Amino acid sequence: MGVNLKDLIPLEVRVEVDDLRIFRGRVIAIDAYNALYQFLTAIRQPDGTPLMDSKGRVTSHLSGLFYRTINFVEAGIKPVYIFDGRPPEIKFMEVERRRKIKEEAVKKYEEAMSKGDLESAKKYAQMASKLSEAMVEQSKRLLEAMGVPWIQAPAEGEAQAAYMTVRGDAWASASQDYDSLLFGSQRLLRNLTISGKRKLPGKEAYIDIKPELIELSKMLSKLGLTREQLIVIGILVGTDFNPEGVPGVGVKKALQMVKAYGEPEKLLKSLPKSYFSIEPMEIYRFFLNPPHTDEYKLEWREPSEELITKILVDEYDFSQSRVRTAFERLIKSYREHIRGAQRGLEAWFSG
Amino acid sequence: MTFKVIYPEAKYFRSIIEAVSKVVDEVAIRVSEEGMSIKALDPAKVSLIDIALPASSFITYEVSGEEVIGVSVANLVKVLKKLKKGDQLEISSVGDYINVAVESQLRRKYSFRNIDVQVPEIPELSLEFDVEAMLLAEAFKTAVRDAEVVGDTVEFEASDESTLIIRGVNASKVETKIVAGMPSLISLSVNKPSRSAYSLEYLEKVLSLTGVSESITLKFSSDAPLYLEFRIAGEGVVKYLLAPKSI
Repeated sequence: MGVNLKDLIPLEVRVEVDDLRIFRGRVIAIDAYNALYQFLTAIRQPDGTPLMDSKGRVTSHLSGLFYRTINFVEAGIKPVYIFDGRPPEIKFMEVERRRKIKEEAVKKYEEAMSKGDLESAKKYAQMASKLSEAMVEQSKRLLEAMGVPWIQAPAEGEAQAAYMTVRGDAWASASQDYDSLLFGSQRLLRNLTISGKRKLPGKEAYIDIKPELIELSKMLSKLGLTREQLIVIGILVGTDFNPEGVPGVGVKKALQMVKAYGEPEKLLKSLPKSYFSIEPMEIYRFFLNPPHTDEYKLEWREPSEELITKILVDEYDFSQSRVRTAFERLIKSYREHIRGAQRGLEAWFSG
Repeated sequence: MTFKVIYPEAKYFRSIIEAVSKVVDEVAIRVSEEGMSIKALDPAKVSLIDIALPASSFITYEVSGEEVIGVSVANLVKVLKKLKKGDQLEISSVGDYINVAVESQLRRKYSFRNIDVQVPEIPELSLEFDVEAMLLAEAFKTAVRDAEVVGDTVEFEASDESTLIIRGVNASKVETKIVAGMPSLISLSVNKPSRSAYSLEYLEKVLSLTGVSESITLKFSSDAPLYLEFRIAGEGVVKYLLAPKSI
């Protein structure tokens, strides 16, 4: 879900990416839960049933993770996946809200199926997508077999990813959530894991989704804001920790208020307590300094065909020949871009 | 504005465009009174191609002022199939369209829409090379093809002015030594002993140019870009620059 800053970000700050190869050699920290949910939602059969193996286990997330990651490595990107840890306590309400939406969706899905309404069934099936502990473990195993590093965040994955961009260990973080910007991600890459043709919800129409890059410093200077002020805007319009936000305040009004007050903390303290179930200063401090860790290793290894085959083909009934073809692309790209350390000409550009 | 040019050897032009097609999908071609030029940097910024075909290399060159045309390279390569030696190539622009006609026993004409391609802003490069060699294009091609047999990386090494080594490196190695005095090596000058590695996947993309050029100039330094210069039929020049791989 995340904070909705869509209308705040000036168009000129969103850079559409036509070709992933511009990221060659860059480390991109991918919000793993965000990506896996997208694979679960998007990779489905026409009636909304996810891909499954012969035992009825869902495999959409593995398919997405495998083929997408290979596309990244092929473009020369060095991906690292960041997994969520425990949801922070202040997120309780949001977690609960999401759980209810999913329960409701499951009911509606069953209703739609019994009526034979495939269109609605698909919609509800997607809403009911659930990422289980087992799926997360399978995904981590697959990444290891592929030689792609993953990192366990103490709490929010996107916060850890953002921290890594601040530290300079990652060039950008990839997530759909604008929260990443509040967490301080230097560059947010959206639509990375879903780019391509995507069906518009509820319509028989498709649009072409391209990744977009938002640079935090550019955005802040364009809007004349500090990161602290941006966090306050987020809190005013609603974040995962106060989903409702302040009634009647959208991004435009929030921007005005923040500018009028100048001091972010002063504004937060002036807000009526009744709007918040969690103290706004607490949310503010959480965004400013979320739980993160320095205990991680960024190491890409040669992918193992044996392990990949064992997971995808032997356990989850993927097609052996498709997996092999994809593996060959992966190992070739790994050798070319990651192990081979292909450099760019930038170092020799003068001025 | 309109222009019309005729290039005497369509096959040569195809080799040039094929090399471009491996670098970018769409390209801006600059047509001025001096000649035709193309500059393209691949999206990953690993390789750069810089082509100059002077007006004198065309049999007809009717151009006034300067015009930039944008074409899909893949489309252009497609229509340049099935060429015979001696086929002439006519390129003209009329309104929003670019016409490409191949003149042999029959005349085949294709029209594309002139697409809007930004002329890339390519920064100047500051480069000095410690090794400079001139060799027969055929020898270069053979050595690179041999290197491909073992892997994805090719190393160039010259420790003195007697020998240039082109080596395919992976689990196994294959080495071609080109020694001064051999007909393949026209000249070799070495400022400092140098060794540098490059991706064969990239290099392979310009090998087609060895077919339209008799000799090539090759320059490199340790852990620095490789510079290749192909002289096309005596007049046109294709320069190719490739970033190194870390050894």
